[in-house]
Amino acid sequence: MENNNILLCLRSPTKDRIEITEYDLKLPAWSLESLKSAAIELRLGRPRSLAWAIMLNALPPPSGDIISSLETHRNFYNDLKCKLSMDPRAVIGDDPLSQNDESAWKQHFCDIELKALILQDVVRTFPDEVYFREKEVQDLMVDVLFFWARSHSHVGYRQGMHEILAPLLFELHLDRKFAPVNLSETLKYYLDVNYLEHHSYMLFNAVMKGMEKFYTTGDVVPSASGRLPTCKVVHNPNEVVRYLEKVKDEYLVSCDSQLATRLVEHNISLELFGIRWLRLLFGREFPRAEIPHLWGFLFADGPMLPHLHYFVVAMLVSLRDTLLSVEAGFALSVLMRPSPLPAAHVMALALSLRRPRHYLRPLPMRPLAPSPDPVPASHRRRRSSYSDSDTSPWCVVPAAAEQRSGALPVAEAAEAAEAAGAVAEGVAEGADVARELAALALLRARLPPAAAALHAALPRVPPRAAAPLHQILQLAALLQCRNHALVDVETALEAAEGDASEKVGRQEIVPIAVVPKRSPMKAPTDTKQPSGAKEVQLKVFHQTECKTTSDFPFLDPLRTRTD
Amino acid sequence: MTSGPYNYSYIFKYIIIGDMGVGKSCLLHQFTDKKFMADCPHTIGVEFGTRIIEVAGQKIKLQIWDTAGQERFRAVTRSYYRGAAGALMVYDITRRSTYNHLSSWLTDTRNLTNPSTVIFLIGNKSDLDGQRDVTYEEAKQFADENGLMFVEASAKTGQNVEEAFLETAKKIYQSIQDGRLDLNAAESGVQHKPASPGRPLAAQPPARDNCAC
Repeated sequence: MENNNILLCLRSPTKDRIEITEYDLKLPAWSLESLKSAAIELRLGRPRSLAWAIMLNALPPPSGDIISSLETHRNFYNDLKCKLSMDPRAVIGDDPLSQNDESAWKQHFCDIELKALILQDVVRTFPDEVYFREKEVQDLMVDVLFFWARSHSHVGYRQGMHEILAPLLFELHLDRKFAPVNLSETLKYYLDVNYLEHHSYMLFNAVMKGMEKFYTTGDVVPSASGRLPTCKVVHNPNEVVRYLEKVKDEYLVSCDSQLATRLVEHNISLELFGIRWLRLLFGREFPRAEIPHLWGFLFADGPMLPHLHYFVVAMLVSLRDTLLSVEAGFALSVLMRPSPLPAAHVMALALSLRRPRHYLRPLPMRPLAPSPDPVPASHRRRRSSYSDSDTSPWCVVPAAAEQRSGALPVAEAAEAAEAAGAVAEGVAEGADVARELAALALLRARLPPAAAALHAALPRVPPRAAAPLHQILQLAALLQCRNHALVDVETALEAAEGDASEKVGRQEIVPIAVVPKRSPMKAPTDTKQPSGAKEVQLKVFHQTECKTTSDFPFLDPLRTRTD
Repeated sequence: MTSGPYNYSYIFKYIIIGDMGVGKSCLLHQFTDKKFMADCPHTIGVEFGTRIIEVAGQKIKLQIWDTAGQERFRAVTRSYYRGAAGALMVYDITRRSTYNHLSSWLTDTRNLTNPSTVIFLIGNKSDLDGQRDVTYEEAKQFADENGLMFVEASAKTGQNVEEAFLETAKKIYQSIQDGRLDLNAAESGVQHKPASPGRPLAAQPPARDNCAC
């Protein structure tokens, strides 16, 4: 199951896993560190909005005083509202026709215009989501956006902010909706429905700390009514455009220069799609049900989102095979539409780019074949709406894993990818098989000790982890007992699984057919095997190059070995 | 598939501009997909669509850039607008403010495109005649005074949408025939038959041998 593979890549190898119980702010599960690692592994518990607020430094973890911090936020918002909603009739010596910038009346009319501008966007928020059709919800959104824009006049209100607020608000809503009856005092206080608006502002404000730079427009400041002045001179590039250029020049080039060069050759600059990626925090690039996990993952870095560029690069690198093989217009249309890959895959890739020594790189997934004619992105966006149920698409691993077998969850050696500078996958026809073999060799070397360590570290296995752990141990045993015999297999030059012919030559070696029975894994090539077989069918042939398990091929073994 | 042989002779680059909520993306969808998207999400940054049309027996691929109404040329660098052969400038006939802002849109367009760019004014939402806030006559006068082509259209019913896009293409094609539009110019917004896939768009050598001029 592909998701499982990705989840494996998202696990930090060093940290102990602490299970998070829903609606129970027990420490250490709700400590900042524990929340962050849970967010990275996509297993944040409810109230998720509270976890976000803690990771974004808007609220302290439960070891601090959440209640008094919430009270401060509520009072702040009340004061802000009060200050910015002053009745112009109460101001003495002002008149409604005043064009003076200081005039409360002028401000009042500008405010009306700005609210109308915001409402125009808010009513179009997530058209397929019933929650956002309610008038109270729309009014709440207009208020939060309006007061934020008024108190951040250098940014103002910009289109897209409503699509940042909406997922936050929806999580706040769901946290209330799914709350059990008996709650701790802190949670009761936090989940008080009367303060949904205040908490929305708190969370929105916290997210915007890192996001507002993507919304500013060079040195141009919007007018009080929210409009931008006509452009007369050549303006400075926006910060978001500069940011994207920097991402390309400093990170993409060093991580995948071939891809960076191709984008330049195609005359595709990142801003064409990157502005949308950043301003909406990738909200339109993935099905909406994946967004809470993605945002939790991104928020784990703190309010300034310092590692966002890794995600941008990962978005591009995850599409590299497609981008490198198609013509310019087509490549652009691929980038303009939502990601064909699950968010978890891109997250795993982003982690491995950021910390190659700690996180394994996920195997490249085959993106869907892009359709020949680019359709405007908005057409394909509504792939799935928020799931109202609280079951996460990612966190239900064990039962599903038993049922079906998927591709082998091989993780390439991240160090090797790093050392090679460029990514070595998908090089040429046949290289796939070679890479899978290399990966299998790596798995053979790494999985058994890792499984043993895992088993040792978990004397009392939590029920949900028991089944997968058992499977991992089984697999490790399977790999281990064959280890000495399998060394030769790594010398394979070509693999044609299931090949029954007896043709054997130095260049034609047909070594592996892993037959899964109860395991969630099988050999990377997709040939169906009879399900009755119990063990690895193995053919070992003459050529021997790998003498030790440490000699496993990291890079493109096909090329190195045929030379 | 796109990597197969090209079945068109030219690429014309269009931009669609205008205030937020006037229906720019809906016009694009109506034109490319012949569908009305009632709940079209806001454009953030830019989007684009393509369609192959035929003018005077020549197949032409329209590459249409749809811009965010609130951005007014700022979010995305001007180079994308500069190389436009056609600009569709849209307002909403039921909202006077969107009409009032046309002169600043026009200023921006003239500043940032080249002189041969064909500008077509579209009064959208003509199906909402009952809520009309801008008369046909005054918009027509504005268009005439500024040398723009003009039509009232409805992205909802599809009325005049094809016409607007096609008339713009005809006018551009006419400019090529007349020699007014220099295909050699980097920013003409027109490319003659594209070279092999994978070449940068901007760096294609102009192939003039098939050209009638």
